[in-house]
Amino acid sequence: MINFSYEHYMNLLFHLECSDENIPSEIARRIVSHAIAPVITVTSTPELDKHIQDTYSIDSLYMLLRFFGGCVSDRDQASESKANAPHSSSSLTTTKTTRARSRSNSLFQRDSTQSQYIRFTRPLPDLVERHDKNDMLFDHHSLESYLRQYLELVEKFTFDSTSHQLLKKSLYHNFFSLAISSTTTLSPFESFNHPIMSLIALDITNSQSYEDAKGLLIKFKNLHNTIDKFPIYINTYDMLPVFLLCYNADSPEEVQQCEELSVKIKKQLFVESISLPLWKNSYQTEPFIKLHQPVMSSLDEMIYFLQSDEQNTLPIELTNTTYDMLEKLVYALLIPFMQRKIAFWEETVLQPKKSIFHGSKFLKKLMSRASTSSHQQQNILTKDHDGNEYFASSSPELLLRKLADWSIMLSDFKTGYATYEILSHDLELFPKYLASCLEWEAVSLLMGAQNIVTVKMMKNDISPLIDRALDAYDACAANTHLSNKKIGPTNESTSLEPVLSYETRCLILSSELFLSLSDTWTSTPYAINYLESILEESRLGPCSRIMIWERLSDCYDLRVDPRIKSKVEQVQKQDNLEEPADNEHRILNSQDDLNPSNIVSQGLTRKRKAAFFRLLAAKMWAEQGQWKQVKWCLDNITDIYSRVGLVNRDDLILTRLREEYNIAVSDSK
Amino acid sequence: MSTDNIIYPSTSDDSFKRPNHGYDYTKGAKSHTTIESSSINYPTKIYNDSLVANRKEVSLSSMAFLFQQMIIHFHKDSKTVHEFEEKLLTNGFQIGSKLLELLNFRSSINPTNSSRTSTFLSSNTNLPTPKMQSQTSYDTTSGNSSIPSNNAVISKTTTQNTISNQEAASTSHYSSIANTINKMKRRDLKILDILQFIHGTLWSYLFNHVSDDLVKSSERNNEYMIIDNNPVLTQFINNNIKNSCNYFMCGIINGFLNNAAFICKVTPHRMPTENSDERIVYLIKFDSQVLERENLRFSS
Amino acid sequence: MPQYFAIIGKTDNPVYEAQFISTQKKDGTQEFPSDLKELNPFILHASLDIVEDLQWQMSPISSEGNVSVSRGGFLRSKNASTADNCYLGKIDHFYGLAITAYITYSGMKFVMIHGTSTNTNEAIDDNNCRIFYQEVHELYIKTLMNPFYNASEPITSPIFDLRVRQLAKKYLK
Repeated sequence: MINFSYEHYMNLLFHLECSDENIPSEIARRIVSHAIAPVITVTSTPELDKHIQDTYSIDSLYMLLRFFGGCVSDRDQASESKANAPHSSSSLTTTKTTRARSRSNSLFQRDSTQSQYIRFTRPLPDLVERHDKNDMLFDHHSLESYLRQYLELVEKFTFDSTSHQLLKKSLYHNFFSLAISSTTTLSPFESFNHPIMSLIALDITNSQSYEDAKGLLIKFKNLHNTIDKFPIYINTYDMLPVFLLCYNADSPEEVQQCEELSVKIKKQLFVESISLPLWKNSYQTEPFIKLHQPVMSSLDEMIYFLQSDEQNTLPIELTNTTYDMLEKLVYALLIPFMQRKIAFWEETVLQPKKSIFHGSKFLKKLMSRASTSSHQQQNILTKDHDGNEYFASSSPELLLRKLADWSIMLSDFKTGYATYEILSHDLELFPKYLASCLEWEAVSLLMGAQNIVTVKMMKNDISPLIDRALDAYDACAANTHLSNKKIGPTNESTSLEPVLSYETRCLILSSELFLSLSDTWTSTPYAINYLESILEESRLGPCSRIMIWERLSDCYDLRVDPRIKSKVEQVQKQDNLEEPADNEHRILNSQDDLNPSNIVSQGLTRKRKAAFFRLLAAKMWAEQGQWKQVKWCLDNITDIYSRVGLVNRDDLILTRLREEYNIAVSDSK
Repeated sequence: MSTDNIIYPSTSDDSFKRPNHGYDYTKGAKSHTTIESSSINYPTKIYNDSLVANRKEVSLSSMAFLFQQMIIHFHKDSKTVHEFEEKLLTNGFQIGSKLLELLNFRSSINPTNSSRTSTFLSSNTNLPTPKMQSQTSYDTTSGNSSIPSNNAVISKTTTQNTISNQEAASTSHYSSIANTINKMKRRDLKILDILQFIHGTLWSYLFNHVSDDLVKSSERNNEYMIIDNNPVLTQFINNNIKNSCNYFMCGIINGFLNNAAFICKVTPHRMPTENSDERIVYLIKFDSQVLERENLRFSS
Repeated sequence: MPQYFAIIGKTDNPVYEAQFISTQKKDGTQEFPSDLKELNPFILHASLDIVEDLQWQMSPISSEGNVSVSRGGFLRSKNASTADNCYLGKIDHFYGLAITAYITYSGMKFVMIHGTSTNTNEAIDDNNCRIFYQEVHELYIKTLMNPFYNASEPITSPIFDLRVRQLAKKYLK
């Protein structure tokens, strides 16, 4: 038995044997945690890349390491192989313990030991060069084309007999994770994608030495001087350089060299290093395991790898060794570094700000009212090379933002929330900054207080926050629009898109987090509302839109009064066992009709609504020619509609879609 | 199947025997009716009659004979007592479900427009005057103006009624009362409300007096009892099947309640007292789901 | 504005359905577009969850529908126990279509989809709509009084059909 992990679920299409499992618990939180996970850049030398290419036919060290992004303790790639019994069982226990831990009911969960996610990305110069001028999170066209390709794969890999309930959910979450994250965009307004650690690799086998290390480090430290148009909101001081020493484990000299070099680097360059036995003779005799694509990757990479048939493999032992190395990297270096920085910022930026008010709310109010005029002088934007104005990396605003972002990266949602809250007052005049700040203030609240969110909190705190965030995004759009008009008649749609992509993220993110709350009866209307706004406002492509429609159906399906939840599930099970009665028979024999088993739940679910939205999705899939999806949707609603005389007539859409599907299928054969 | 010799349920009273004129559930919504023409007044008694009650009394004797014939008919057809009771129950059920709509609708009619009652059985011929309620009962008679207190009111409203009927007929060829209703009577949502309606309005409609008592069981909270000291329908029936015959009334109560989504079972129990030898207790046992729903919806 | 009206029994069985077409000369005959026509029963069916929810509420004020439209009116007393709970008013909406509903005493659901007219933002006339429902209710009870008609069966009478259409003409725009 292989362990059904979070990453299996996210890549369910490639693990169809697991398609009868349940959705992993707290999936939305996991995806969000993963989407904002600390980013580690991987810098390598041409020699090392060549060496890796020769041994493992993987293009570069980055390409190798990117497979290991994700939840460090899950050891997902290693559990790929069924042969690898002892390791997979150990990873099973680790996930279990982390899950048990994360279930704690404290008001705000502060538990830095809970599973930590990481993401790998290219070296910083690459990121800066590729950096788009218009701060776009994702563009709708790539998202759409990714989705289409993915659906093609679905078509290819699945059969009529494949059970699709879980796969569909996985499909959505896959789509969702791409819509909310990107590892390559360096946004000036939030720091989630700003690299936190820079991994600089040396090939010991190729006798790279201290001098090479020194040269690479100096190059890294000087990046902001050497790179043209280095963004003013990025700072290499806030990035931890770490050397990765790759060696051959069979050679005692190399092991020796590694140790010496790491001591020397630490002593003279004040930089930690970590070693990885990338080569070993015994590796070749071991079974190789197939690596799957990491869950979080940039959209471009996702599209690229979907198109390529390349299948990378690595020896099992190396996979496990790499995970060991990463665990050390994360728990011994990355997290302490982030905690140190957070503590430092708290002391130097946050505390002075707080102490002005002495914790008195009254005074705080008074001050903030009095100081609104002076605020303008306090907050100073800096012009960058292109003449755009941003907060510089050393500005208190950006440092506070980093403090908050990093806090929630480490699952300290309480500090995150409090800091966003303080920050939002300072940013009132800067809609672009404010929008993102408010958005994450709401997110940290939803993530941190998930188990204790009440109806009142939703109504009075979270929903207004999200509304304010959306208004702020709208204001950005309006501003951009205005400034563009001044400059001249530019293409309106392209200039609005960046803002829209963030607004879409805000909507889709909040809807998903609302759905993950336990009281779905009260939370789903919010989720539905946000999803509907996406359909109204954003410019998603047709398939992406249908994904949202289907999610609407899921929302309605989840809308069950908590008091009758168990009852509804029971009835559903019974219904599944019973043969659906003949239609004709039902209509005429409905005198003694009401099934007493469901009079309690009457009106406390929205199953009919769910079926309706699924039907609409089926209709739209048909328009897109996605017949597999049409079939799945129709399968989904067969049960609920089979007993309803109202809807099964020949001139109605349900029958028409079934016929169209049959024709399409027979045509393709 | 030949269409000529079948009686179509809702068209049986008029000359339109071809069903393709009306609604066909296999075809769905039509946008036009093929016989649409407002100038022609189709002969249809059911739809032209007013729902407002005209007080027409029937003698108890003819009612009793009719009931007896029905009893004989079912009794002959049945092999067991249980089957016999079931048949009576089913027939009562039909009536109860129809009365649920009719009586509630009539209660909505503005009292100045029409009278609201009619008697199925005449009470003033040989029935004793109904007893006043005991202290424990949920009596609503005083608060419920829908029950006429004397005949004078009835006769007066009947005349008014004819006038309003004529007015209605002159404008739209058939009498409709719904457009004069400003507020429909509320649907009963709670067990107690609907039982009071049965105890008051339904009983008055059928027997011209409210039932003798409405009691909640002290032992089981899903059980209620409606008490009739002198069941009219079964008074001339032989003692050995008398109680079985009360299943007809149980059916009416059951149909009334079940159709209003208060799922229950109703059984008759003969419990004589000193004063009333024929005293019948209709025991109503609600499904546990009904109580659960009530608890869920109205507990806070 | 075209309307799609249906009477739905307790097992979601159709008892009666009709489509009303406005024949006002100024805007010509207005029908539902064909894609809506094949969807209408589904839209209506989807609203039944909400109807059932409101059916068991003391004061059936829908939160789903657009509250600003068609709420209030002299009928809607704030006193929950005296408010009319047969006519539910606008209970749902779907892309410009409004859905109103009415529940009879035996739980028959009268539901209607109000199509959009050419001049949009035309609110539903709550009072007329309510009277339309009440009149249909009356016709329904009359049907029920027919001893040959069993509750929950489809109503096939052409007279009923005709009368309902006359009512629609009279009360619905």
